[in-house]
Amino acid sequence: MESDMRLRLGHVILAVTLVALIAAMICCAGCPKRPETVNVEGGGAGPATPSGGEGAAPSSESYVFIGISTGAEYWRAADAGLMDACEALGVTGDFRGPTTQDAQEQAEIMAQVIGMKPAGILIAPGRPDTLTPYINDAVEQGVPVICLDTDAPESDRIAYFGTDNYQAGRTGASILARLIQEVHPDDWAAGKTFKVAISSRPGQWNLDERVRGYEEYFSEEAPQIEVVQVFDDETLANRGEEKASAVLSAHPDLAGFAGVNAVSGLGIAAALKNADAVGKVQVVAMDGDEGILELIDEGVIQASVAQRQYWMSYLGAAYLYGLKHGVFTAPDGDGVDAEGEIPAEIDTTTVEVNKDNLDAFRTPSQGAKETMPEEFKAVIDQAKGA
Amino acid sequence: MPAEREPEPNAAADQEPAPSRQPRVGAALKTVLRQREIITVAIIIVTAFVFHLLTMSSEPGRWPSVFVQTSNLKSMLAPLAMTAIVAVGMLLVLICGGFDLSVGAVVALAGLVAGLTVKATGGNLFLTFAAGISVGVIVGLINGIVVTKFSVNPLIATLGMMSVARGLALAYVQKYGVVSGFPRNFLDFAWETHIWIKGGAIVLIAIAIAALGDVLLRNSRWLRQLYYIGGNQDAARLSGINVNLVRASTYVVCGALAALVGVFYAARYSEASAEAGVGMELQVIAACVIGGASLAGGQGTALGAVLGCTLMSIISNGLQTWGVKPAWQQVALGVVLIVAVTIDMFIARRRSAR
Amino acid sequence: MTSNTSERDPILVVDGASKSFGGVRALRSVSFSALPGEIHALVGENGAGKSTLMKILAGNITADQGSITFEGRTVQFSHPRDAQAAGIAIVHQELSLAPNMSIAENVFVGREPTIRLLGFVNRRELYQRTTAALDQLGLRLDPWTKVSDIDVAMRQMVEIARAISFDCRVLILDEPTSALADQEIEALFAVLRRLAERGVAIIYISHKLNEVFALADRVTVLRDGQWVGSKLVSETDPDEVIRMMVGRNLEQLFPAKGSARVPEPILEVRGLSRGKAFTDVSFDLHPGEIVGLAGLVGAGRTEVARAIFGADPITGGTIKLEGRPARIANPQQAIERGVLYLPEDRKLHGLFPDMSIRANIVAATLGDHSKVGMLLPSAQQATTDRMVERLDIKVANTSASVSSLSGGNQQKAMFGKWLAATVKVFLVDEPTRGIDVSAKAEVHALLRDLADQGVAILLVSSELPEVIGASDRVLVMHEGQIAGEVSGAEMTEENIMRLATGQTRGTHTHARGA
Repeated sequence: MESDMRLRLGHVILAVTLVALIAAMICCAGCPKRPETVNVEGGGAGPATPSGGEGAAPSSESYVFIGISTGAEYWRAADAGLMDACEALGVTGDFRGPTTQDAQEQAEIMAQVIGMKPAGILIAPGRPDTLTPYINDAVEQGVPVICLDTDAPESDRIAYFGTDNYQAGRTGASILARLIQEVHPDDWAAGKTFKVAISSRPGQWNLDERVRGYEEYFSEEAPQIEVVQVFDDETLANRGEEKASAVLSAHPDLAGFAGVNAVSGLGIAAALKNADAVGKVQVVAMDGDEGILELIDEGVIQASVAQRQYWMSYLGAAYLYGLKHGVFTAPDGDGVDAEGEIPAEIDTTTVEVNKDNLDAFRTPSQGAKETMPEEFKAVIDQAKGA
Repeated sequence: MPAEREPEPNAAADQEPAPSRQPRVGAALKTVLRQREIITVAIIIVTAFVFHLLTMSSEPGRWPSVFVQTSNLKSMLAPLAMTAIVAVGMLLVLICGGFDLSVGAVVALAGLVAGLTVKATGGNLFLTFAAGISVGVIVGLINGIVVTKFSVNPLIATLGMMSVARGLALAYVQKYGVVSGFPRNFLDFAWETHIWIKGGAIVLIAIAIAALGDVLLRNSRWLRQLYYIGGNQDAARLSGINVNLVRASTYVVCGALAALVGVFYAARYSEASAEAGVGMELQVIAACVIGGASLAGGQGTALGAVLGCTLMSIISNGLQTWGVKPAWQQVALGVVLIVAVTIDMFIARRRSAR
Repeated sequence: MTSNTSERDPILVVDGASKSFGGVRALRSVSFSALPGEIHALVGENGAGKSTLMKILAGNITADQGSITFEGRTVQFSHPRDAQAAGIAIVHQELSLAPNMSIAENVFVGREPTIRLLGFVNRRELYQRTTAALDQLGLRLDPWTKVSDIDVAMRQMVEIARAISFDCRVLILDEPTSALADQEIEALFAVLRRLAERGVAIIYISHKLNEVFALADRVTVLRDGQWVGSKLVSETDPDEVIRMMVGRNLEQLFPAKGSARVPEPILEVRGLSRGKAFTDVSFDLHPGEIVGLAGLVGAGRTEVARAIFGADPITGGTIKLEGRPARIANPQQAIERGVLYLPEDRKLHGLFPDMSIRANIVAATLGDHSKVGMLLPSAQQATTDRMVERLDIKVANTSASVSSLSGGNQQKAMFGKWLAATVKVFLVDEPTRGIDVSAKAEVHALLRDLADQGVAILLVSSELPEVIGASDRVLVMHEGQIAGEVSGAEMTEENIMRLATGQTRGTHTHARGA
């Protein structure tokens, strides 16, 4: 039939077009790269690249930071630190990551990034086990890796800069203990027990470490405080609220809540508002997202443990640059930080955010920039070889 | 001359003689018991009772059980209200045989838009809600057009919109950060006490939407058409129902309701972020199915959807108050879901076979 | 006809079978027997119990009381598999094929020949055995064709092929010819006779008495769930059988022809085309007349009706309604203008299976039953009751699901849906498919009644006796075009068949788009 033949012709044209497209792509992939030029543009506070790696391969010296996810407010400060360092050094900075906290997806992105052969990679591995083989692969291919914020200790990463999560937990615990003591001085002195609950995402390594910090601090330094529940807030404010409300129902005499991820505080705050328990239960949250700051201002949350993501990536970029340009050497694992050797671990510590110093944290990097220790700032100058 | 419809016969002649008082009550009771929702209500009561027993405390001067305390039960209401509103919207789409996987993303995106609007207008609630809800309407329109005019499978189409909406939200947050620092009146609106519940505004709205939805689904012409379409789409079209228009409208309503929840979400948690509502779509679909909706379309009631949400909320709260460890909570929730749906299918099948 | 059937023992004996569904007694102590090698017809009105009896024999349901004896042994089937294993195969009235699978896969579903040891399907053997079964029926079909790509008639033949492939000893056929054309029916009869000669007992359920008398050796009549009588076909005649079925004399199958035809046409179709389905179709419909639309399966009759109804788009031509040009882009517009269409397949296109009878009856007239957008239960019930009475639909409770009705009553419910609306032009497609004799007569009386009230009716039908008996004139289609028109004394089966098969081009006043 005529129409059948016409159909077949259309199919042929379609097939030929597709084959031509595929051939064109294969040809392009084999084309020689554009010549290397030092791109002075740098990042500044420019827009972070969305996840997925669809940009062209950076042809200049570039340092890529792969976050646990791109959606969390938390990483903006890290992004800012990276961009500021790169701008000062005159290189390109790039921030990538999965849209959700999917470690598998992050690994895929890492694989892509490795393929682009950047000068160095900074990564906050979502799950150390998943990302370790990819980190090792990068190092094998000559791309040095530094872990930020979350560590993959078994991997070949040259250094880890981040909050010692365990210490962060202890810090939070000490703040919470202090708050409870301030609000119930007599009962505290009389040796009464106080109950607290912790909102977390069990199974995420860095959060587990923080919870461990909380628990051990209490058992060692403030045995009057009993952790009755560690519950899962699924990193969602509404789910966190539901769980926190339930905990509150089960323990009406609860004295304190602690939240160890950036969203935990939101759910806890809502639960307290709902139950008219604001001020009666002390809350220590994590990080300084705007929402948390608002709630501190409102008095629903008493304090938050803020990390220094800005410092982590700032230092990370600086050290990797220095490594690439021969100013620094990788740590040799002898436990001694010799001259010119990158420290194997830097604890960027935490700071308590409360009603008093809240304003400094309104912009993600302002507070961090202002309070950065001199020796950290000096690293950039060292790296430039000045 | 066209055929006229026959003159109305004496309708009473076809009916049974007027029943006396006694049988009418019995008949009414029978009708109630025959409703599909009774099964879900029964499961809810049983589950609640189980948690009541499991969380009993012996301390004097306190409620007999942790689970059954006014404060605990009240604390479940506002989050439940948010899920229920989205569930009613999703139900409309389900009855027509479709799916809307973009609701969670709409919650986030609408929250962001609303958050920006409320700050920009210094607290104009009307504009804020209008802006937020329009996000849902626009997403719903796109979903509706793609599914009806281009005949794309609803799962795929709404999955695509989910990606787009979530991506837009993320793009914004990455550049400008989450939105917070809302004017006082916005926060107050979400947190004021209504009917003895803090943050009761959303609960009242949920009740209104559920009631309206239920009544309209049972009695209004527009929503009854959903059942016809879900039952046999071809026959519906050949019976003169504008299938494309009706189906598209379900997506618009679903999007609008999700957006409404998104606005409240931002106010309740003092922050509009890109991560709100993750995973909500599947939870809501599960709730609708527990409440009697069929994944193949053609069945389901608003009351059932709300009951489904209630059951899931009770289970979540009960497990937590009982003190089950987080990982096991997930296992338990999954098991209970499977059991609940199986019991329901079993009973429903028994009934239709009779 | 086979001989000496009286000398053999029955292969299948049903004794005192009873079955109730809810409060409805579908079978009351029915006894029935089938001899090997005989073709035994089972007739009865809707609701007489034929399908129920057959479902019991096929293992779909179990009788409440009574026994079944097969080859001398008492048997109890709890699952269709048991009946199949015993050697009883059934071709149901409702097609149960998987549309997305091929013919071969459907015929041998669940028992595909496999390659030993590997368990893979032996496609070559599957192909051969399917071809063998299809050849028996005289079908030239590629076994790998997807069922969704073949038409309803072919699908029915595939169902029959499946039953035949079972190598059974009892073959039950429930209304097997409802979608078949004459040649296919002849082929089927030939196969059945051959099977009977091999000793297979064939139970043939049908409304069509002409088939019963052409094919069967014995006929059993059921009425209201009870056995009325069994006779040798050679010893009875259609009138007696009808009397037994109905319990009274049926005067006529078809009412008198109409004289209500109005000179001005209400529907004028000119040069209507739709791609390959039909081209250059032109005709008029006048209020008060019934115009038959005949032709072979695939001639394009349903497509024309659907196109006029707006269910499918047209690629050319015009329609005038009541003298003015009309653009009917979708069914909604058609219904608003009083043009209604009764689809040929009620299950696929006509009914809403999970909804109540009442919901089905008001489906096309929701607007008429609402006020301010809210449906009025009382109005819906009133219309439903009216339709139930007018069409004599046997139903206990209009809130029950429409699937609980028998086939004939479902068809009536579908009629009810349309009669609830204002009708000026009624396009009916196979309106009496799958319903019994007296119901057919009712439908024909109804159609004539409507015509007398001024409705213009286009009757699409594959049953020539029906087309001739019910219509005032007949248009015949052949391969997408109107081949000719016959009326008056020329309305004979031969004339129509000749036009339908393209052997003659008749005269037709609107042949070339006037």
